[in-house]
Amino acid sequence: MFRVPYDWLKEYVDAPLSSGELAWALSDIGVEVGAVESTSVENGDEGVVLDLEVTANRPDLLGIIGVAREVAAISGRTLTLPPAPIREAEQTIDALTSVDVQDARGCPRYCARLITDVEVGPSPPWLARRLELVGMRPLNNVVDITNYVLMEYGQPLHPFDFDELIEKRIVVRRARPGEQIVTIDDVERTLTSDLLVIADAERPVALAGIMGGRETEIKPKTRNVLLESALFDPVVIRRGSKALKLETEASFRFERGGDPEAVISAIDRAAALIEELAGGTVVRGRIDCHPLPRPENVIVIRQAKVNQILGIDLTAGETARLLERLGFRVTDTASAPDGTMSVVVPSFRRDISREIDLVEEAGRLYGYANIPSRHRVREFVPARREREDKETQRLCELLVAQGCLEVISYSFIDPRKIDLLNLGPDDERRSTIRLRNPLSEELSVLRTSLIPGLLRAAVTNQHRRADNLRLFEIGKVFFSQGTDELPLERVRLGVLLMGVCDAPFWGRDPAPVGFYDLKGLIEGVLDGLRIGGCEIVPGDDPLYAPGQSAHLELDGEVIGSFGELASSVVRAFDLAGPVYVLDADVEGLIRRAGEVRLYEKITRYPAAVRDVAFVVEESIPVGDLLDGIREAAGNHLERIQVFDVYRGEQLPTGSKSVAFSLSFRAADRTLTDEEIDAASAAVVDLLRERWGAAVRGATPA
Amino acid sequence: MKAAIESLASIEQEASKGIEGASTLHELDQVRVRYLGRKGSLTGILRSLASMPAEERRSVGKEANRLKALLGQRIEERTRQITEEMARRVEGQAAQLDVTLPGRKTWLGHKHPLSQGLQEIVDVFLRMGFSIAVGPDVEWDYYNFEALNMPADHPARDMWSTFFITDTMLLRTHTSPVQIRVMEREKPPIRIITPGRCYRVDLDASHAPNLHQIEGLYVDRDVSLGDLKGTLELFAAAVYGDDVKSRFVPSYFPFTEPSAEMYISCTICGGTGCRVCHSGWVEILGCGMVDPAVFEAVGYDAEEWTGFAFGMGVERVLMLKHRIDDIRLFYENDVRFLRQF
Ligand SMILES: [Zn+2]
Repeated sequence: MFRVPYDWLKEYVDAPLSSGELAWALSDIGVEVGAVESTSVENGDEGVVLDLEVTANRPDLLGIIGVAREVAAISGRTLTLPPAPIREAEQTIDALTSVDVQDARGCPRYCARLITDVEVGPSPPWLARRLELVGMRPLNNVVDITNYVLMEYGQPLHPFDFDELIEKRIVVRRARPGEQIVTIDDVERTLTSDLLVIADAERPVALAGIMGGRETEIKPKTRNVLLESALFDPVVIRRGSKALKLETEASFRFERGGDPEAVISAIDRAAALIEELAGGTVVRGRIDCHPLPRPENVIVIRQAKVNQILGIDLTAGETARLLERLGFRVTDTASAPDGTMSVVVPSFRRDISREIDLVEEAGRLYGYANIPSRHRVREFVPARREREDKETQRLCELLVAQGCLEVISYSFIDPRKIDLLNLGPDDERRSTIRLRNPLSEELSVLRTSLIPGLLRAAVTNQHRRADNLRLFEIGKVFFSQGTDELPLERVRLGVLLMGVCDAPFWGRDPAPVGFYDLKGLIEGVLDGLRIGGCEIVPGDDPLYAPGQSAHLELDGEVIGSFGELASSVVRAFDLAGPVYVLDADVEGLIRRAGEVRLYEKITRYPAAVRDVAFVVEESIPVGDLLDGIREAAGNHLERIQVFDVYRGEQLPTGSKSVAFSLSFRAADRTLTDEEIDAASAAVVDLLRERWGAAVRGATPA
Repeated sequence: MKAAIESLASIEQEASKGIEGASTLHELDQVRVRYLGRKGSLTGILRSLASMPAEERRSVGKEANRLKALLGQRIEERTRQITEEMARRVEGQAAQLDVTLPGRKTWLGHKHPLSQGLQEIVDVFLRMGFSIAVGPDVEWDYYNFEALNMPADHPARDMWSTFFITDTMLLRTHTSPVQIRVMEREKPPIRIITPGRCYRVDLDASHAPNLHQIEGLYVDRDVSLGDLKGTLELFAAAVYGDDVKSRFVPSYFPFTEPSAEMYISCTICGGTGCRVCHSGWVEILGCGMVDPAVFEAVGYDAEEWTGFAFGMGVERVLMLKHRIDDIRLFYENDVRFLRQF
């Protein structure tokens, strides 16, 4: 991010560290060196650049001198600031120009210098090379020098062609609505009153702290230069930069906050360099409008707090020495019993305003590696694990146990995919929440259903020749509740089955997956979660093929639906073959799960089994017959299994034969044949009376 | 009479040899026919008994009947033997077992690697006494930024490129809002982890627009940076192994101060430096001491309570652990990827 050439850095502090050692040492005190790049192989550390990741709180590290201060703190060497020997002319600046700051809050300090008779031309090679090393393109000596000093001090400077300024003066003010400026990137911009501008007598000539204007920029024929070095309000610059979508080296620094003293050092340094390298004459003095000087920043710090937060045991004197190495001035050391000190913060550390900030400063120079790790058992706190979390895990495990792969999709979907789901016009899944700044239309709304994500996963795999899919996802869906309330977030379960139901085996032909495979999977989940009383009734969601779906109802509430997807949906998603999906509400599912179960005694008496087949009308649901059997068979009926459903020649048209295997058992004795026969007879009677069921065949035990 | 007795003796000898020698049921039947068939030699003797004198008939008859029973029994025995041998031979030929043929499998299910990783990390902290806390994915700007010491126009907001729904409603960029919500409703001591999905406007090989994060928060009396180091070192040892080394370097987050980034020695090269880590160290999480401004936002007295917080991306943890080079693989759901974990 911020590139620091090693030998440039060494100009300000002569630390006996190689570039590698320096990178490590800087990282250790919180100046992250992302990479050490070598641009020339031959000369060791020459041409080496440290690429710094500067955090948002440290604008002072966006200048090489700021980095050098850190190196000085690490190494104990002194910092040498660059010389600025200016030979000023007789004429004073006040006689030639003026600065009028009309917005003191937006511009707390504005300095100007004037350099006359400049010869604009290319920079000397050493300067051009250094700019290239930090990633800047050399333009001409005047502009290059301001960029060079920007890199040194982290203080943005701007040179104006003085002769282009109307009435040859500077006004710092808010833009007038509708005012226009062509910036140096050749873009014509229309301004609003939120923006701070540098103007001459009539018009804006620069976007303050962001970018200069085309008309007053330095040109080959420029003779006289007005140099600006200023401080702007971070919030004003940040808003302006966001509004214009224009981030520059200058705006990036100003929105993080500047150093009021660097304003002076930088302008003098640049003036001296222009005089030296561009042959100009510096006019005597500088204009310094400083309407809002920052008061001296003094913070009280307690040694006890330092030790408490860091978990160490330093004396106040030791802390004071750490802080002083970083440029802080400690005024009264450890007079109070808790080691209270007053600390004066240097102007370049705008980020330091509280005691805790100083604790961090002391801690980072002391070294985190020197802080002892502590493993304390304080009072035992029982870790809570919410029931929902446990049951959701269990749900996931039950699906995995049945051979399903868990998928995770983005929370965003393509709104057009929702339209492809065949949903009714008022379906709540149609009212999605739209992002203001989506990555793309495909990821522009929050999902209201897991089905599009599952289908997307299915398409991906089918295109890669994986046709047998057993996928599931557990995740949140989102429903808007207006702009004054956060959306409703519901955790849902989606399952998708496609292809064949068994893993491939050479000894048998694969059977295609069907409705009852999905239903069996769901029953497995319900059994595993020990959810009883879940009703499965014919469904009518248009997502599914007509007559090929069901609703899951628990306590009279629909908690999900499943079945074969409508063929139009399958085609719309570019899939081939029947697709079976489940879409259920996880909170609804697990609400009844996980109650503590009491042990049921396992009896040692034998079971007696009776098989019986009934012929009934096609329209009668088997579920009704099962209920009837349970009702009639009495409390010794342990289990019913449907083992055959037959339609065919030997039966009257419009009827079917359903075969049941009934298992009877008593907890306390062996049942007699008479008891079992009586129970079976009761079943036969009830089914005949209620549904006209005829016994087709029955086998004794 | 003597001749008849002698003839029975020779029948016994020959027939016994024939029965022993028969190797198929057919051969055995031929032996039976020869002696016990309608025209068989023993049958002939039995048939001739009627024409024998009484004394002779009695003694020859007794001997012939004994022999008939004996041969019948021996033939039966031999029949069983031959049948068993045949059965053994047939089995051996027809059901030659090929142990190299693939077996009959069922589909094997897999949890998504992110779920597995999330669970592993959560379990480590559960064992250290942290409880799970969760919150909404869609948040107010207040919980995501302002209460975390990032007022409007704070440049640190740029650390997270944020999806907005309205001016004040957004997709959380971290699970820190959950920490705020828990502190708002509970008094210290607090020891929680907050796993969940977060969102950033980013999509390339190392950034996904949604990602999974686990954050932790511990607030108590006299919690220090030393406690933070100790806790996270235990975590790293549990997830990456006992011999992993760790390094804490100062960093910056608006909601913690002092702040740090935790690095561990590279699990690929062991810390000597390789193509993946360059330096021998890999950054795994950000952490720090809870900033007093955050305590102020939730109404805690920063003089009474101190605390630490940390946060890590689950994707990143797994990419390091399994050497996955593209984060998008987690969300593509290719079954060939999912089945590897
Ligand atoms: Zn490595």
